[in-house]
Amino acid sequence: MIEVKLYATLRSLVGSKSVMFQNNADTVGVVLEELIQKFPDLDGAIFTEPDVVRPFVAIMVNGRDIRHLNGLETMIHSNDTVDIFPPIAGGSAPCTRNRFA
Amino acid sequence: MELGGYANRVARIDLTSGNVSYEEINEKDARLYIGARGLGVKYLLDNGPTVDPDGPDNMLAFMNGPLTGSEATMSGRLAVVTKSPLTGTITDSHMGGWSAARLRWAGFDALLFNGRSETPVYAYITDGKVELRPADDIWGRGVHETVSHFQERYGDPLSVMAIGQAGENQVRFASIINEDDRAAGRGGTGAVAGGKNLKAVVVKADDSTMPKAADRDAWRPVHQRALKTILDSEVTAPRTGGLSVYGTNVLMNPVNAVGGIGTRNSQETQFMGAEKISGETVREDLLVGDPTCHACPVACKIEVEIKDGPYAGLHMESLEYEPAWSLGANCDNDDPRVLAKIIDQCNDYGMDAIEIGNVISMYMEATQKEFVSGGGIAWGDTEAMVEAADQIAMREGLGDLLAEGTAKAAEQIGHPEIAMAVKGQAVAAYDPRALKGEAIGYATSNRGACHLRGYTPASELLGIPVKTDPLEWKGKGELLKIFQDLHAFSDSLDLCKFSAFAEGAEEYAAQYEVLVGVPITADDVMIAGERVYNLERYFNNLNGFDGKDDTLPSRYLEEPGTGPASGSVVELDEMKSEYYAARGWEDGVVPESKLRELQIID
Repeated sequence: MIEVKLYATLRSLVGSKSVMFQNNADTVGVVLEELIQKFPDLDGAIFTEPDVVRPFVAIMVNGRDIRHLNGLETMIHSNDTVDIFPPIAGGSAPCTRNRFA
Repeated sequence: MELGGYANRVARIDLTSGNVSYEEINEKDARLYIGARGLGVKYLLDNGPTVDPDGPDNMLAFMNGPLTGSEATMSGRLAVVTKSPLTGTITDSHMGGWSAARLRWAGFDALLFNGRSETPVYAYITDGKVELRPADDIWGRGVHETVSHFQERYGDPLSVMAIGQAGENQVRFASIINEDDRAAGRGGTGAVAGGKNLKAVVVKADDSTMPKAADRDAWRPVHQRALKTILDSEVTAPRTGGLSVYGTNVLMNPVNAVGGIGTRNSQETQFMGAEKISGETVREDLLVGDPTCHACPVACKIEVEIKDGPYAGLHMESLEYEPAWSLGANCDNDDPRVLAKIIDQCNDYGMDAIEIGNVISMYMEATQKEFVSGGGIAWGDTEAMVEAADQIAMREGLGDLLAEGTAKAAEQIGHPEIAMAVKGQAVAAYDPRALKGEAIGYATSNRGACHLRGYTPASELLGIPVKTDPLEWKGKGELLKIFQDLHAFSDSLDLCKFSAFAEGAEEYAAQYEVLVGVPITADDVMIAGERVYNLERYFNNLNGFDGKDDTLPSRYLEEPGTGPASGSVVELDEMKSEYYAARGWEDGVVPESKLRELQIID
């Protein structure tokens, strides 16, 4: 079993705090595909286009952001937890971004 | 002074003699240090950096910035700047609501209090004048009763920035609270006011005198651009953005998910009860309103009403993330009704709701480890927590010890290692083992441990302005410097820090340029912020603070986090080296060459 937990405004799109999947091992991308098949309203909230996660949406596997793992190709296994957060805080701060780059 | 934006009027109030004098702002200082936080630190430095923070020579400065109370979005902020009785460092603490705007509409950029009144007084401010009036009849009352007293006496519109019993009793983390329960919360500003016998600052003014840009044609597009970034942001957008819908406590779940919620005085870093005290749960179960501040469409405040249990009927604001952590996870309490109760106590007594959660959790750990005799306070004993808040404010019984703050109280217990504090001020709601930017942030903050000096969780957690790995230490010193400098500038304007979730240095520069009339670039913004940050550090250096004080509790260095932060400890020495190199400091000290480069000294 893999548990996908949803937070903040995403909860109203699925009507619950989490969704369970029977998969034993799969990539995050595959599990998200199944999630969106069940709850199509999540598509626009998570992706801008297929396989492109919206800016500032955080997807974590066992507390690690997939941007620091293998992205949507990150493997998940039975008893793992996937957390999905909408852009709960963030913004552009364009000047600061340039400076950091 | 010829600059626009400012009222160009400062009141110096000598509480010892009762004399009030007025002066203009020195234009060179305004150009260098902008206002609010930056200019306030300059006034404190000129007052004498080595004064006793508990004595009459300490200055208590209420500081507006050139944008405060204007039409600029999120401009309802002022800074209270003083030498902290909690840390011995410079400190500034900002409040929202309408008090700052009213102070500007009453014709002031700054109120500088010195001395000590023999009897309790309050300052009555209206139409460019300050009067000291007796406050004997309200001494001993809480903030809420004090506000009601003045509202009945003077009528609306009115702002009241007051201390409660905690300030009067010089609890080292006492706050100054205004009529909207917005707090100059950290650093013990209320204790300084209490030591001066200053009960309140009462401001009578309305928006008919709101400052407006002289060049309307120039202002309109600049204002619209800044406002649009706020309205369009997925975070700050009114009624849809995460911050607007759930308030700051929307952070409880994501920080917990990465293993960044200090639990049981940071003995662990993930809290099983986080969902129960999260912004999502509070919104579903307790929310009754979402009030806002001057010129702010975001309305992030969370007004709640308790419907059942021992605190049924309590109506309060605002249930924020930081106290939800300090009084929640950190004390092993997962009841949001208790959070509301104790935050309301803090608002009425006038106390820092972050520090109090830390000092109680420290005492809970002391109880657990049998460092204290008697009953102590057990983890999750919410009745004892409520009672402790009463005792701290009144300095009664155990409260007299805890009123000294987390670090000093732990030292008196004989176990300073269980104080999660830096330079005497307790940490905030981001465990540095899970979010390494906060490690170097807490260690080097000029006002003691603080998440707001440089908000690196924006990058580590949310990807703003770039996503960095929260468990990686490399690069965080450089990242922190950018955040610290940017925030130092916005704190000097004084715009709400949440503006940075949408706006950047370019928006700040554009608004400053039109309102003040001084051409300025985004680069200039960052340099001005750097100057303010170095001025603060210079103040602290003159008080003997250096690299040895830029440190962290040993727990963060030796005891790994839990959950996703398992195995992680802080690489403090490496981070400090990187940070000092970025700053150009020598072991935490600003060299003379840097002071000259930034025009802090001639």
